[in-house]
Amino acid sequence: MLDGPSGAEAKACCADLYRSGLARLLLGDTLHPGGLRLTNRLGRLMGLERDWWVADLASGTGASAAAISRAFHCRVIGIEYGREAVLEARNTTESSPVPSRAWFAQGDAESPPLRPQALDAVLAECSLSVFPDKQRTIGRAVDLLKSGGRIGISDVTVEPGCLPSQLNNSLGQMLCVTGALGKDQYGKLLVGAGMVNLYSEDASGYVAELLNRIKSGISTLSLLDLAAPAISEPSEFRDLPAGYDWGGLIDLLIDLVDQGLLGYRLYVAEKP
Amino acid sequence: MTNTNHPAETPRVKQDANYIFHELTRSICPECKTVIDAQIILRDNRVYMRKRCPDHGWFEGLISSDAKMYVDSIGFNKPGTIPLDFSTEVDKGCPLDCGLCPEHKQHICLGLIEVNTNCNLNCPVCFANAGIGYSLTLEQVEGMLDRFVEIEGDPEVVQFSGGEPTIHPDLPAMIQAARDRGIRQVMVNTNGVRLARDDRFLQVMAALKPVIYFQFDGLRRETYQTIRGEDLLDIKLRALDRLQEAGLDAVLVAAIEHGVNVDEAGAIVEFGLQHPAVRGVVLQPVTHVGRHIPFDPMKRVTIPDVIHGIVEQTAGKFVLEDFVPVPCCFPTCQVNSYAYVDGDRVTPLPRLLKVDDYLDYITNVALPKVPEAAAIREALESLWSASAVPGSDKAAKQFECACGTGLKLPFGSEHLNKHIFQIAIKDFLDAYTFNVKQVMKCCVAVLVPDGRAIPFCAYNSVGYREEVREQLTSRQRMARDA
Repeated sequence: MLDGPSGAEAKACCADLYRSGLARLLLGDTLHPGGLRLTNRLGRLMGLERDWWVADLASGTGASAAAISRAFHCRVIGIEYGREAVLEARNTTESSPVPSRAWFAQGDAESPPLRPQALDAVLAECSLSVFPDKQRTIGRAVDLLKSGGRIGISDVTVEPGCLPSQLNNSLGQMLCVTGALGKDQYGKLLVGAGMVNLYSEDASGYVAELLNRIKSGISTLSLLDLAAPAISEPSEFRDLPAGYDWGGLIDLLIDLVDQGLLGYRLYVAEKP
Repeated sequence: MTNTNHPAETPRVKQDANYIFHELTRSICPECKTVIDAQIILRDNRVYMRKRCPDHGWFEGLISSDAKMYVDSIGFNKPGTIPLDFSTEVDKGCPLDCGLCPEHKQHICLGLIEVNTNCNLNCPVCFANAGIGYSLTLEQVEGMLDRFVEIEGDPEVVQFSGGEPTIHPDLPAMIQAARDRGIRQVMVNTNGVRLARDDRFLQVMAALKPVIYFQFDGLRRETYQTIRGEDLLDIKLRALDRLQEAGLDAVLVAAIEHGVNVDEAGAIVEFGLQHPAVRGVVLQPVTHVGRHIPFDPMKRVTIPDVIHGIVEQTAGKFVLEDFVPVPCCFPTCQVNSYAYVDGDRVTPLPRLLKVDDYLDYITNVALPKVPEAAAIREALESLWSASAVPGSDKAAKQFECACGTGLKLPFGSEHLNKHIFQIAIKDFLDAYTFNVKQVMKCCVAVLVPDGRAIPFCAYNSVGYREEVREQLTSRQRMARDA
């Protein structure tokens, strides 16, 4: 659980952070490691089938939901806390030259506005780590599923007690590390919520790739002296001192990945 | 002992051969496609392939017009990366087990999907022999993309080709399908006719933003008359201007033929450097497969001819050393160069750092002793690869990284995208130059609906193209008649 801000504040702050120009500049359009490559892999591991009803929890601006709906020919409902992101997701889907069956609703993934036992699958990409109450979120997700339905989670893993103190801030939040669990804990939560046939797969290589991208982004930004119009939005990192050594921090994270203390994993499980 | 009756006495002195025997490899008979042994010989600083078919006799063809360049390139050979899965087994031996088989020496940098065989032109030169045949369904293409993801894990580039892919009604959905699977770069290989004429189609492409792999054979009308059968110059120029207005990036792709447009190589590069939509050029000596104009196998255009052409015809912008072999495939198949372009100033990347120090794996066992050497090599490997796509963010980042400490570029990748120019020269194999050694390390593969991925030159020369086309065409006919 997050220290400091209340759950609602944290969710709103996260939703804002991910829509920000700087986050996009650093992370690209799909704001999680591996981008649509890992989204597709997760869908494949979940065994998504044609015409299934799928919910995407914390769907952001909708890139994954639309891609999943087209690649697996299923119907996806994206649930997203941030209103602006929902509007943007709808707008992007509607204006795309290639139609998808993805719809978006504003809502809290901890209590999604959906009917219980109606879905074939629930997907949570790099989002469980930012939800303050993970147990409750997973419990609700399981409630939404029909018998035989699948849950697919991809998320950052941080081994307990290994997060450097300088990451308990908004940058750590953007990197999904502040609320991340250890690699065994996500599976335990799923099993604890009654799910079976747990499968998990390491994808930590994508975290290293993402960190390197952020690092080169930051070095570009420092060359630009943070003055370019693309990034002159309100400061996302308000709790960081001026002249913060971002490069050094990223190096620290890369080191944690090398040691296996920071990583990224996919988890799939089935409702009996 | 003397024999005074012998009419014309010849001195018993051994003669030297007029060539150096370089190596023995395997090839195919240009007549019957049977796999036969082939010698690579060096003569008068040129490289030839010499081979004999038991049924059709001896054949000889030019491989490279610069033996030194050819032999020097061999060191630029990087260890291959093994794909996650193979689609065929080793049975008859290379190149008859393609798909890839487990003896293949490289993964696929670029996957090609030929979505149809039909075309809106009827060029005298067409390696794909475009015409009546099949048109893939979206479902088939989705299956091929899924298989590509299975064997590659992280596919880098997919190129939609044909026929003429822009006349396929499902092309937009196919491009989107590649993107939805996380394939980072999607290219459309086109003659540009539809882009020049169809506003709505252009709009759809602008929304999907594939890189346009744009056939552009030169700036002379006669060149188009000879290679394409009609004067297409105005259509080409119009299409390029429209691409720029639509915000799409193009790579000019020229088929270079002996006696037709070798003397235009420099002009094509110069034109590309100036046109705001163009991020690079690919110059391809004409592959004598499918449809081609009559040719003499001893007078083919080869990579050194194109390099010399560019050097001589660009008024000192480029020198021979700016062109470096590509290590992911077999290094005799392709050379690349990159330049940073700022107005009239063109700075080739090999002037900023010694690319050879990083990519000649055999001569330089150890990397140069600079702090970022490993990162620089990695960046250069990405640029000197069949999967490098000009105008992409990735290419820009790699260019910046390759410059290392030597050059701090004070811009983001958006700026670099527009200022980095790629030149690639690719020599595809035909029946006279077909070399199993090159095919075994080929990293450009044609994806086939049955799940196979067939190295491009094997697909064109050995008979796979005909087999696949026949199969898909008759299946489609049966489905239609049913």
